[in-house]
Amino acid sequence: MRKLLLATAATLTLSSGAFAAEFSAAYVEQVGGSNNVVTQDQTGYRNDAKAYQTDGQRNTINQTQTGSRNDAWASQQASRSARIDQDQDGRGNRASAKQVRVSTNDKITQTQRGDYNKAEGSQSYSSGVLITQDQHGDGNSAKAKQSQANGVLFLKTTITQTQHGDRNEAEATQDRSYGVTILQTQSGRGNEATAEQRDGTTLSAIIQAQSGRGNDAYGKQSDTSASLITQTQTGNDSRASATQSGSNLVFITQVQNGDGHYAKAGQYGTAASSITQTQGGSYQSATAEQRGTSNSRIIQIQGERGHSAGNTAKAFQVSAEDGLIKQIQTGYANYAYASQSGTNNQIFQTQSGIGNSTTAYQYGGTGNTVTQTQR
Amino acid sequence: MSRSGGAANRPGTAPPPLAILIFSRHTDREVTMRKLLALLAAALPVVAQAQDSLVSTEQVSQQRLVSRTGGHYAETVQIGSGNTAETNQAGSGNRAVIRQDGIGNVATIRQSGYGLNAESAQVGTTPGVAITQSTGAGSIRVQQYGPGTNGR
Repeated sequence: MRKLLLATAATLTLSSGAFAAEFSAAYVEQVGGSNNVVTQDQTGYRNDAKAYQTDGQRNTINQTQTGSRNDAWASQQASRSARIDQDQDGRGNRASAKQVRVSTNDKITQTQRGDYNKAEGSQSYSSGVLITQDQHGDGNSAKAKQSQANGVLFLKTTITQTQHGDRNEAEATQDRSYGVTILQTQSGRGNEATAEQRDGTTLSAIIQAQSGRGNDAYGKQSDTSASLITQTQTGNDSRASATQSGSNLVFITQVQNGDGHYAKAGQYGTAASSITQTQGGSYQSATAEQRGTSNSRIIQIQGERGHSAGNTAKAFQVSAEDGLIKQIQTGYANYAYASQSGTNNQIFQTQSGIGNSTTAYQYGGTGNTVTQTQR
Repeated sequence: MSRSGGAANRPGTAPPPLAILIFSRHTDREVTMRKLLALLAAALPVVAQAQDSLVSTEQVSQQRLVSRTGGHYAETVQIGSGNTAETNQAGSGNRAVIRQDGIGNVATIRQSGYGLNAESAQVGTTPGVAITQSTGAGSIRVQQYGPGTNGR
């Protein structure tokens, strides 16, 4: 049976459709061959579409569902240049896609319009692969995972998640990879983006952008080197958190514009690393911490507008060597706190405006310097 | 008064004092009310005339000058040796505090403005301190504990 399929599946196209149906199920399986295409279209309520391809090249699975509470499931194994496209329109739908041991230039694309939908995509043992998830609506959830997925020259391994609406969740994970990127974009209120790269990722990036109110962004990298986390938030009352551990030459950049934001960044056991936090507006709070670092720096800038007020910047370097903390605040009633332990560290605190306060604390070391300027 | 109108503003007729206007039993009630309203209207802020805008501008400028900077507080604590602390403040009502504990630490405070306050406390040997205040009056307090202190 397997040989027969291999022989005849060269340009085979399988399709199944169920129009305006309820509780219908469509299942397609292809083994071997190349240029195979599975197309499944369903419209209605509580329909299931399943497709499975293995041992082939340039195979494609297309699944389209319109309605509510539909399920789309697709899997490709040991394929080259494989592609899965899932498109759902409605409410409470679920899309699941999986690629295992695929090679370069493989893609999973999931698009959902409506509320309370879920998208899940995973790729493993592959290189130069992409997962793209796009959701429009409220209360949606997107999850993506790439494991041992490496980027190659001119072919990036990337997870891209885009959500428009309120109360959405995006979660992305990459492990044991190099040259990989997670890109998360959200607009609306009460959204949450979580990204993690772990277990030895190199030349990796987490980029998170949120606009709206009351959003949360979490970025985490462990055992990484030459990597970065960039978080940008506009609007009000949002929170950004970034953590890097056991890493060298790593960077965290957090930019928040608006009022009432909170930024938190931590680097642990790193060298030649930096944390840069920039906040414009009032009533912002920024906290940065580096532990066991050398030749690293923390830069905090608050109140780029002259009338900014009530901002707080706190920076901590523990067991640091040749560390630098630089805090710049503009406006009224701002507070800057810097603490360092170790040797040959420097603190620069500059405040412009009225009624600002600053505290510098250095302990347990020699050759440390504090320079405070207020005007 | 020139905007009040009524009988009291006829040419050649001096306006009676406010007390008379209010308490005189011989004045017509309606006329009294109109004059009282006219007085109140005269007392209310009016659109600035050309000749008094300069005064207003000067007051605003003065407020801006006063509130441009000041009221800052800076504190530095260093525990260890061979450390350096420097605080520079411009404006009025600023306060700077440097506390150091160790050997060979150096503290520098520079302040310009009015109502300044500078304080340095050093514990340990061979410390150094320099505090400079310019422009206005201020207070300086230096405390050093330990043998071989400099800067006394």
